[in-house]
Amino acid sequence: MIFSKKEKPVVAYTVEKCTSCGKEQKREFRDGDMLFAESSECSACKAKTSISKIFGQTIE
Amino acid sequence: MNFTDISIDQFLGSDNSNPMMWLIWIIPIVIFMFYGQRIQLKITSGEINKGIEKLLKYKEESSRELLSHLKKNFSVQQDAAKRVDDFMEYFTIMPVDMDPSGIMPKIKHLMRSREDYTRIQVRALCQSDDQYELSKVQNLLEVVTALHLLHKIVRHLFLIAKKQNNFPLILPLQMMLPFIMEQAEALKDSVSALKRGQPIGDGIGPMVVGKMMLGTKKRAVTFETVCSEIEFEQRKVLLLKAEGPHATVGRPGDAVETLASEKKPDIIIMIDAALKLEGETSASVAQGFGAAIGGIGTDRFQIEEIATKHQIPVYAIVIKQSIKEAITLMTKDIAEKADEVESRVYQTIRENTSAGQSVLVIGVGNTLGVPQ
Repeated sequence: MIFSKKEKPVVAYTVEKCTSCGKEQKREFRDGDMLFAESSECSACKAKTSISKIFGQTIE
Repeated sequence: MNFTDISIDQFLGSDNSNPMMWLIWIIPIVIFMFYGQRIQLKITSGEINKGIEKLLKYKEESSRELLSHLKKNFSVQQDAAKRVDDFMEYFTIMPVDMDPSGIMPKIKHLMRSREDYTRIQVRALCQSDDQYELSKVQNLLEVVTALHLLHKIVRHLFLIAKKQNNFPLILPLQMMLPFIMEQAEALKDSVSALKRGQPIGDGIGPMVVGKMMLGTKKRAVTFETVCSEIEFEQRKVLLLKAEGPHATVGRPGDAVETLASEKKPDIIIMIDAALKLEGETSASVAQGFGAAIGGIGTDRFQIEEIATKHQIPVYAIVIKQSIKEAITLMTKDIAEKADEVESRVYQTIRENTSAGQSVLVIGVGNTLGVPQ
């Protein structure tokens, strides 16, 4: 329809925070991701990261 | 042909006694006098019809998604679709409120019975014991049921007004429809987050308390509700939230009752998502007094009763959000407020208690995707 608003897609992201140096990395959400769970290695100090945030962002 | 010399008076006739002109004015007036409401009814009907079609589409889409989720994750039987359809028609008869005294325990009993029955039904449908997955299905079923109910009610009111050609009857529906559609859209959008186990906006309270609980020893207080203890500046802080990462709100009323008699907290701090007013900034944090908890009101009633009985002040910290933000995937703005809320909790503890006292901090809301 001409006047109908087009829905903007929302993408889910996961933020991993390094438990050692505090560096944050943002990536797309993967099934099984859960808040506070241990995640991948930190790209800077190779320590373990934990998931600090999971949120959705609208793609403009 | 020259059109520049046509005068309006000449075209329409300046003479008031012209019977044609008289008819041109009088006929619409007569039509609108007798059929005005019907014309308006037809125009409004078109708008409402579109809304009803949308509601039906939302209901069917979410029902389809629920069924595909069931088939993908569980070994469901062939009659799963029929069982979901049957479930959508379940109803709850609220207690008589002509004599409201003593109505709360009745409502609580009714809601508990309904919850227990739903849980049994979901377990039978999924043939699984995985509480996390079952809680997600239970929430999805509630979404589909809510959409089904919205569609049925709007359609009923619309058909009644149309059947009786009653325009005033359709007016309240026309006024309410945008609010109903907003709620329906939010419910439809919540399906994706529920299926994937992502935290929703309402989960900000459990998220803050869950983070504070990390590394502590947790124990179950009541059904699907956990508690742990930490020490903060010589104060004992009791942390309470629904058991994550399940899609549940737990039983905070019963848990507060147990903890109030066991631990005798000096203050209670409740953290919850609150519906923002139009114009208010989303994810803004506000502090106040009283039991910050939504739902049908039984838990709030219970917490207020206990707080009054034991003379415990109740402080509230709310994170404002729209209805859509509250039940769909948590937004970035809301997620980023977790640290600010946590520091406000500590500030409230510092300001309102002294060393040696104890505090009960409750993270209220659906704890989907938020462990502790």
